[in-house]
Amino acid sequence: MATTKDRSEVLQGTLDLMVLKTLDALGPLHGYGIARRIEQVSDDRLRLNEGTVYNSLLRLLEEGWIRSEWGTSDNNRKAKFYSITKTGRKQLARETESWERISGVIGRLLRLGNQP
Amino acid sequence: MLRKLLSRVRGAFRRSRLDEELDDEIRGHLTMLQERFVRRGMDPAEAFQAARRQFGGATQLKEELMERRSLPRIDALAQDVRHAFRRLRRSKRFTASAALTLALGIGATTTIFSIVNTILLRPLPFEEPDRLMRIFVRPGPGGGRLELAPGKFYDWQREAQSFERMAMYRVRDVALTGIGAARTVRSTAVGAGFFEIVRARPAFGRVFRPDEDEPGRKYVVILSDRFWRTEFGGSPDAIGRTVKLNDEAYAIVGVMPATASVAS
Repeated sequence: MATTKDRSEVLQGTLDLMVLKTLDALGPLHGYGIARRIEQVSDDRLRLNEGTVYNSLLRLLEEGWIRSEWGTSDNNRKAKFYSITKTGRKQLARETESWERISGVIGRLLRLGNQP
Repeated sequence: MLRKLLSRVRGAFRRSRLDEELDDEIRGHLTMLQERFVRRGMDPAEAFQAARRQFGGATQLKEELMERRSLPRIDALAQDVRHAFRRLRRSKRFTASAALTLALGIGATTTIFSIVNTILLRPLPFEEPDRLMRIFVRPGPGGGRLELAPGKFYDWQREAQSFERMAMYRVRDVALTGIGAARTVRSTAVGAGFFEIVRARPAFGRVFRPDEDEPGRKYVVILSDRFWRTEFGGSPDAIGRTVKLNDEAYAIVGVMPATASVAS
């Protein structure tokens, strides 16, 4: 297991993008499932307070990018399932593009050697 | 923006239901995390702590969510109103027509709100519901409700200053025998003062007397309208007869009206 020092905080604003992408890729999921998926993909390199997933879900619901529905989980427990909406998919495409642009710029900037 | 505001307005009205839902969600999440840690070899108490750590501050989360769901702060609103007022003073004709439109709109809204208020928002089927409180014990944020020890209840009843009166109730399933096939029925055991607190009156017969919940007294029961109709054919003779619940004889003393529903 990676030590705390090696794990990054979730960057402000990126959790919404991760949640949207997870729901887009895996279909309807409950909050716990979303947290597991992010943990699995991050390979233990991300420190996620799982409660914040619910903040993100609420933000996305408010924007109309996801919807929620009560259902039954694998182990027969009542759980609220979230799924991405059509406008959510559009938003995801926009956000993905914007993220790639920004991270590309930052990557280039950081790779620049010191100028004489 | 409008969608957000609407969502918040709805949220403000539905807050208590949403909070319960969120509680359920958080509790479910914590339980699943705990089970996961147990599967990895922790003992349950250790796993509970680990689950809480991984989840982060549940109380803090709830506060933030409530904040997000509530209406915009009043001071922000006042600022908007002042700004709007200055703008409107500059264009008088527009102001007149806008004010008329608003007046009509508000008139319609008030009517609709009155209807909605009676139909949808009235919270409990009891008189003066805003003076009724349900008290329960939780081990901490995100924990389930605990069974209340009667001794503790009597302490509260004696010491509490903020309540006019208190009564216990407990929903439980009991075995009904002696009428047709033996089966399980849902019952609510209540303290003698319960009916006075919710101000529920029986359709006929009587409610419990103040001393009837003391130890050693004869067991008494009040039937729901539905049970009375299905099991006693709606006959007034039901009063005075007995039903066997968990193998104890209970004398029937009253029948509630069809509109009454005991909290479940």
